[in-house]
Amino acid sequence: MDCAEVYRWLQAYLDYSVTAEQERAVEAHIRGCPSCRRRLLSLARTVSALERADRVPPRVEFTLRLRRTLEEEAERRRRGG
Amino acid sequence: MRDDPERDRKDVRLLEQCRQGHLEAFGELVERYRVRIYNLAYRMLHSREEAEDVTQETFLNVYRSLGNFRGERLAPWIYKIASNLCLDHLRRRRPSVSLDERSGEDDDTAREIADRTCVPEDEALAAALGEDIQRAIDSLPPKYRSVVVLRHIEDLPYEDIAEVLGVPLGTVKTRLFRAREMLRVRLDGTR
Repeated sequence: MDCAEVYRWLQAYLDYSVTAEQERAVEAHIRGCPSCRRRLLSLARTVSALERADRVPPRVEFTLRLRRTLEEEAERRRRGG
Repeated sequence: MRDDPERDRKDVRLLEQCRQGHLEAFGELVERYRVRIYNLAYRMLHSREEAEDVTQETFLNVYRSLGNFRGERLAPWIYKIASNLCLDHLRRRRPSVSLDERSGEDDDTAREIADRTCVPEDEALAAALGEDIQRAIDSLPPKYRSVVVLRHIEDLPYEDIAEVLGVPLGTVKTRLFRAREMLRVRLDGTR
């Protein structure tokens, strides 16, 4: 496998979505290729950072407003509005 | 949000109760999705106010369309409504279409992509990266932004993302591939 081919498989490799044979080929290549190894680690860090991003809690005032709005909507519909 | 048949069954029960006019069932349904939809919108729009608008509009739409919903699973439907509203907001914000958006993509080889998150990282560093990551997401064209947020923030399976965005599975994979590469270059600066 050359660098161009490894590049195509890097993301799939990162996701465990390659065959055992492709996995061995990618690993053999990156062991001897610092540039592809850096790219793989860099991709892994990116995905990891994304998935560790915390959930943002909605503001309490918003949650109360949302409930009120939905109740008003239900009431409107109940009255046939 | 991985595949969860139990959650889907519970959603269907709630949906039935909502259709029979039980308001408390709708309230429960909102509770199940409120934080997720808000976060989808917040990550897509990077604005609390707009995320609140989208969240409220999503649940109003869901409530008004309950009678017409014929699908079997609520989650992709709710995400679809929210994601379309987010894209509308972004469209209103951006009068011109970026070069990235115009580029073709469907001819690309589809790549099977799942997730791998086992890279150890200092907690404080990760927290500090939160804002960097949001800014990196902000820099993506909308169609790449939605796929990244649905996959890596909301943890939706590819099949659901395809349903939410109304595109083939291969397109989801191609967009995700490109989006992650753009984020990688932006966050890490190495090519």
